[in-house]
Amino acid sequence: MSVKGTTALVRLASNPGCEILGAMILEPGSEKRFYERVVGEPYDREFGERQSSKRRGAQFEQNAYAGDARLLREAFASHLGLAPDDVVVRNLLDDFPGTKDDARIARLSITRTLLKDAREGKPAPHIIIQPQLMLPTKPGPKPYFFVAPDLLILSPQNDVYLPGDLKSFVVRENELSKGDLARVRLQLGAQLLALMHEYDRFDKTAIIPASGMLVFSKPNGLAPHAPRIEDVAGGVEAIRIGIAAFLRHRQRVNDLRAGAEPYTVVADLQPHFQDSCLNTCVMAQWCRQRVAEAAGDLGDVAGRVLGDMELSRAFGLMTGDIEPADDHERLIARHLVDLAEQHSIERAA
Amino acid sequence: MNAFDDTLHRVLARYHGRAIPVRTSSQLSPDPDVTIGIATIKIVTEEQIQAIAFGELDQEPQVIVRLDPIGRDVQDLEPFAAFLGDTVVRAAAVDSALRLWVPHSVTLEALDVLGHRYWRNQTAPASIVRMGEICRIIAHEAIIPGQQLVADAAALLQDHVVTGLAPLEEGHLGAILAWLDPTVSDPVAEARERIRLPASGVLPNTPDCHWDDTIDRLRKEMKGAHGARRHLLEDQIAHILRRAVLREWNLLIEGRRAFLDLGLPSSLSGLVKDSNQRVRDALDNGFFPARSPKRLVEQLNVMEAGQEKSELAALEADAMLRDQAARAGGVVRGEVSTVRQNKPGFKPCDIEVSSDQGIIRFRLDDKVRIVGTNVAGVVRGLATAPGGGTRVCIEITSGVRTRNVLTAGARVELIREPYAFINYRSLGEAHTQQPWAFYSDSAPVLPSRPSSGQSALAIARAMRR
Repeated sequence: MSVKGTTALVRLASNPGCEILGAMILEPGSEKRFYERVVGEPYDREFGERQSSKRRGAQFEQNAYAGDARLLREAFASHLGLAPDDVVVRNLLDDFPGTKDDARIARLSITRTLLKDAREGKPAPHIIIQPQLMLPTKPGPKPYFFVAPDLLILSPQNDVYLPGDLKSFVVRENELSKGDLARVRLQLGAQLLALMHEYDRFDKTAIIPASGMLVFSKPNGLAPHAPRIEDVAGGVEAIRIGIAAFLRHRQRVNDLRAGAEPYTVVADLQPHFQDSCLNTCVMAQWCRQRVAEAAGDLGDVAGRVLGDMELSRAFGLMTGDIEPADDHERLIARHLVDLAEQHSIERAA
Repeated sequence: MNAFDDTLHRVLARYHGRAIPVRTSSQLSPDPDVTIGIATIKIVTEEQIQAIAFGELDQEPQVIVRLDPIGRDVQDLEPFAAFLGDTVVRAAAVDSALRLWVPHSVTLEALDVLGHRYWRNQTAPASIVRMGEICRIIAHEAIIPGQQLVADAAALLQDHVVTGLAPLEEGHLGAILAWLDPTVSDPVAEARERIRLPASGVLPNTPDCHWDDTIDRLRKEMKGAHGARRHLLEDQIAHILRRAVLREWNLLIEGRRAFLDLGLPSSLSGLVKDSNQRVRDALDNGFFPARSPKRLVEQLNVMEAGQEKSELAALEADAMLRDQAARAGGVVRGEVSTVRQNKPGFKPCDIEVSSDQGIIRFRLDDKVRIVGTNVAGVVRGLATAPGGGTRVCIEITSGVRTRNVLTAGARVELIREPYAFINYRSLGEAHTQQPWAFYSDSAPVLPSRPSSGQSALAIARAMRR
């Protein structure tokens, strides 16, 4: 995964306790390069988005935006309470294509104008494609995060926009797994928070509903499902916590590095390894070595049940070589002894 | 299993360097006569199958590699479609249940997506449409608790053993197998090394095994190639896909063998009958996904009944599960303290069971049974025993001739009877009446009338008459 833009915010929200993640976000260049500079060895696992995912994502978007976004107009028409032909769309990539900062800033400027126009009752598109938003974290290094939803959709109830994201992966019956849903809700949360910030710049009375919209792909070809409206109040709060954590990590990294590159101070930072790191972070194996002999190596749940207990201590409690130090350890020891007996009997049988 | 028990099992597994069984019975019935396996390789995000291995599990599989899986031509899927169709016909001919082994749930998802793509595709050949329908039937049955059609090797092993890995790592079938292989001396290291390469029905794409990128590049080159060069590229693609899908197939075979080697008995005839009936009906009459409120409620009821039946069947057959359930009060262990039966072997018969357990989950009028017997009854009284523990009074409704447990001093284990009743008649009536709350987007507009001057309670009373 990337450590830039919305993805960085989503990852911070998922693991706000990890200072290593804070350093990775501050470090220019890729996450893989960060790993290689810290560990001194090439990264030997899969890294980055697969070609097929990139290609499908691009095709799905291209298909949705084709013909003045015909598929999007059809998909959102009932939500907007309009006929598809009456839905007005503006694609900012037509004005300023590309991912360079100059193009992003130009799109940000147009987005701000359109948000304001809609709020003031001037003519504004119902759907803005590829808008640009920004979340400031200044002053300090990395003073802002660029946040780029795929869409902004004008809410029919009031004159504010809501973020929307196109997801090219195939879902059946417009339902997706809890894990995937949690991740995309965080993504919408980051987009909504950035949007709230943009409104706050010029109109502190604007009330933005804590909702976002998702459009997934049907199993057949590139056709989109009907949009799903998601409540993302929890996601917004998680992103706020993630940003607060980032500000703390940034301060700590800056205090330690004294002008050097962030990766140089990693050994002095506190990792916060959790199971999900194995699927999302290149540093997972490195961080895991720090808990290799502890209960946390058996997973998050074991870490919560046994706390900081070393595995060797748990083994000692089981064999009787170590005396329990308190009631909690006594309980663990008793159950481990019972369990060991039960399984040795079964083995003998 | 609760978090505490799960953690202690992991500690024990890590200490012994082997997987620890957590069940004494299997949640899967023995393989029926018609048992097949399927392993797939899909394109990530596209969800298009690019290779399939399928066949009987004691033979070499048939392998299909798809050079252009995104194309509209589905001729290359014909052998798979024919195999699925023949398997279904063969099972019906010998009146056998069906069993499909897959390495993990991703294979099932791939089959479901395949089903979604073709089961109503009017331009596809009939055999492919039938294949799509069978895939949908398989995937639908797999979501019903207690089903006996699909055997997911990774999920079965996860449900029956615990390893010294984190639960997340156990999603990798190869990693679990390292803990079940006595020749592996360091299963932690071995499992984590295996996890480097995916076991999730996709091509590996690590720096030392970049098959996914290679296939992508070869397909691009193939588009502009002709003659011998094109054949060479096709062979290279086929070679990689074949290796990848056979790796998945071998995982499936090893996973199945490891599960069967656990040697767990099963007693699931009720679940087998239910599952077989559902699958047979769908294969004979076609697959119709639930869309209307009535069908959705029926489906939820079927799932709830499956959950109830499978949980109770597992409890009845599995002493380890009963140990865990007893700690949570779901199973009551005790001694028959009183038997009130005027005429031995006849109703009425009431018993009292004294248990040391302070917390039990039974409630008045719950139907219960005594594990390992034909004795069943209804809870008619619950009282706290003077020295702690609980006394349960039960009216025996069946098995009154079973003297060995209906005797003072007999040790018994009590579990709830499964409640698995689907009220089709009520659902049918509701469907006929089409209540607006379920069948309409908005409430009906009622004409306003002048007030009758009656109180709401009086109106309600009148309506009740």
